[in-house]
Amino acid sequence: MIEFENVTKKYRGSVTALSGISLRIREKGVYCLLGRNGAGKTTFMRVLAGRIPVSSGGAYINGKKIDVLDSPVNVAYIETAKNQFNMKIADLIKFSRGINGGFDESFALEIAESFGLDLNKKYNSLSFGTKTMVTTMLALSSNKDVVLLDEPVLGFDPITRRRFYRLLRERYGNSRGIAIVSTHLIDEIADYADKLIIIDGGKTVLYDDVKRATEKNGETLGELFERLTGGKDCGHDGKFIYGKGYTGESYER
Amino acid sequence: MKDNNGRTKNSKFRQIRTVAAVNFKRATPVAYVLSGLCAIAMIADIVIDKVTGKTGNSSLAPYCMLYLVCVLSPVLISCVNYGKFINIGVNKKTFFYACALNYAVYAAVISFIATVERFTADTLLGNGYNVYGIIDAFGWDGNFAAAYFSQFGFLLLVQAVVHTLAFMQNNAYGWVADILIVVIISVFTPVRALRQAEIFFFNLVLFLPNVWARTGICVLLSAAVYATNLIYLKKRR
Repeated sequence: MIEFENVTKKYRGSVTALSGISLRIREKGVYCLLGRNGAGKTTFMRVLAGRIPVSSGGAYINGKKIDVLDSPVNVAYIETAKNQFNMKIADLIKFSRGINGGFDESFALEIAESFGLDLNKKYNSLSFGTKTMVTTMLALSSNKDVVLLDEPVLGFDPITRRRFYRLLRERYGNSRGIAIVSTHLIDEIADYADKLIIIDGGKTVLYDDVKRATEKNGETLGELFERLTGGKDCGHDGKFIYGKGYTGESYER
Repeated sequence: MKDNNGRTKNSKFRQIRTVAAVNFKRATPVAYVLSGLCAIAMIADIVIDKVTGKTGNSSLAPYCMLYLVCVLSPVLISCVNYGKFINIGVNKKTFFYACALNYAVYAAVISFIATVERFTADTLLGNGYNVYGIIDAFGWDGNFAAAYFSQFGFLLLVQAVVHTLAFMQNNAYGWVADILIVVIISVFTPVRALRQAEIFFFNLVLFLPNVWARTGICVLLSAAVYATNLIYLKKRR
């Protein structure tokens, strides 16, 4: 369904954000995208959402190359909680419905109620955490095949985070589509994600089932992450570690 | 319309219309208020002069203030609204077409209001009081249709140019475009042969005797200038 074929992305010709990433994501479920600051997670999502062009290689969704002018209709990605129209939440939901016919308005209202959102409040009057809730709600309600969530629980209190993870699991854990969640809250997401992608220095260093990856050496996800991205003495030799889920064969288009 | 998974798909036009509607309501109200206030101030000035019996005065026609909408809206739409649309998931092409729809509507509506004012209120004021506007300055006052379509083409071109320049400002292209414009004005104008080229251009878009040819040229030029946005849209986040 999603394929990255030797994708490289450079900014201003010299800063390499992604370096020859080759990855195939076929199974539906919740994917956890981990990486240290500056590893390339956001660039990965931007490429997948068709926001930015790649410098070389190709990114495909369902066999079709991602076009930045006509970005994939089946990918939802709300990048930041800061840059939104100062509308009432109810109006933002209606607007989302207007640009995306598949938008699940009833689910959006359900999430709003579950998170205690006042639909008549204007966006700019909300706290940062509440703004993140609204953008996460809009993304989850988009009903698209691929949902990209970049730090979706930033500013959430622990109880609200748990509620979000359960909602994510209910929505995307059962074959609705692919949800890729980028977060630094590694040990929390471990309980809710099916698969794991770790990016370091613009390259993928791990792509595997969460359980298989952690049970191999009896590590927590945090320990595994630190071992793979911690630095020179962490035991990671820079090679891409293939999990059983990656077949390596070419994807027919 | 349903997609392969049975989910409702909005038609492309519905998406474009939704985005255009938000453009009309968001950011551009600043332009509406500003031009409205200026127009009111002008009208008040004219009314006071008439009431106090002043004759021989001249004034800028209030409809000229509506043109502020055509100058401010493209700036606000491309600089303020664009990032918000893309962030919420609007397709870049949808944004491109929606803005074109916005500018066509602005040109159509403002040209209509301006022409109606020129041929009614401004004419009624007459009798020793002169109200001048762009329609008079450029000689588009032959009849209603000539004034309307000339303005429509001109306003469309203005908006296309302003949008394109504003949209590329945070990139090297923007700087190059700005420098090019300054060079053209400062180098072409004093040099006679080059000045002729400038005169030719302005004759084409403003003073061509045939209103249909003039309007057609403006519309084509607007489309060509606006289409260049597609190049930059690819790179802009």
